[in-house]
Amino acid sequence: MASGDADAAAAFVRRYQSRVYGLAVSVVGDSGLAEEVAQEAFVRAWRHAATYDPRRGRVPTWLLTITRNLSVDAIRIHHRHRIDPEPMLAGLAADPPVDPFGSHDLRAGLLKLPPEQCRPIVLSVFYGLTTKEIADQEGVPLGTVKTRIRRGLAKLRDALGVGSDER
Amino acid sequence: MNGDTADLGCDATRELMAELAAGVGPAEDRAAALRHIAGCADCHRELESISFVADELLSLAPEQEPPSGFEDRVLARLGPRAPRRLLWRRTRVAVALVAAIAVGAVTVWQVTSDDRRLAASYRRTLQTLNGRYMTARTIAAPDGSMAGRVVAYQGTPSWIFITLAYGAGAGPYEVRITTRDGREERLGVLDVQNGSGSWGTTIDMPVAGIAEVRLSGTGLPYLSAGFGARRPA
Ligand SMILES: [Zn+2]
Repeated sequence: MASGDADAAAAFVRRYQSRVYGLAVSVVGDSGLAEEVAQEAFVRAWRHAATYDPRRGRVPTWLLTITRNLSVDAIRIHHRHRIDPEPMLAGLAADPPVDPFGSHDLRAGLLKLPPEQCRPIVLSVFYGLTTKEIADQEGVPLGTVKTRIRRGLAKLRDALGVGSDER
Repeated sequence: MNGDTADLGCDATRELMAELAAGVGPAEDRAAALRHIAGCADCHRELESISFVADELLSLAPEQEPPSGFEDRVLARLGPRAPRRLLWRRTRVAVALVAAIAVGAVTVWQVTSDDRRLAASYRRTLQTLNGRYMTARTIAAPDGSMAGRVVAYQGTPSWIFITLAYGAGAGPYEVRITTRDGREERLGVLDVQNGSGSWGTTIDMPVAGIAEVRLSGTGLPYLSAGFGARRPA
């Protein structure tokens, strides 16, 4: 790496490491595995990124998406047992003192969802379970899971004010 | 679309949105849904907005500092590598993939071993960029029917990819582009066989600067795609 690249890489890692590692450890639940996942996420993200502009305030969405995908792969390889979303739900409920990412509306929207909608959404989005796997694990009919996820996501979309069919 | 598989339809596609957004679920289901989405502007918008929500949710995960020395270990792995080449290779994968989806070429899905990642990659390409940088337009035949699609991607580099399935002609089509400031540029040649063909190229102008993509060839119907309206075709 040229020295400018190295500086940018260091700034990139420093800036997002607690978010990447935080997501990874919340999903995989093990610090050693989470570090592997987080390292790999940065390596892939850095190679994927054409440019990194440190002036941008937000976490690049794709960085967290990569982290999630790697975390899901990791739990599929390492554990096969039932996934308990409760620690993640508790973590999501804990509003950070400062919310620099403007995610307040979404967090509030998520917390307002009935638990039977919130749980399957978290199992799907964070843990990468299929609707079939959620139905099996939660003991709920498949059609019901699909409906709950769909309704819940529609409410969150409204909370964020992003487009819907009517747009 | 001229797929040999029945179209999934909007309702069944909507059922699969959450799984598409998370990049999980049975490969055949996702392939069928993405095939429908390639030809349905409403479902395309739905996927964009649901994916947006799903990805934003990830940013709500609690922060946690990694073990000490993490930064050094990552930087050591980043090493003296040029990121550009890898980026380009990935872009080409995305081009091929998006093009395949645009034509409804299911086979690509079935032969791909790492399908989940590709689906995620397609989805990211679409909405990493939040839909702002990728657009698909219908190519109209002289009789007004749909002759194909052109997908334009704004990025580094920007590119367009054209797929045609119209009529039964064969031969070379000249592909030209008209820019909003009135310039005309010849981009290259798309060969058609039995009315079908696909071709893509990088472009050195912003996608927003395209007014029209035009195709003309001896003995072949004149085809064009307007880039006026924002709404994807
Ligand atoms: Zn549809």
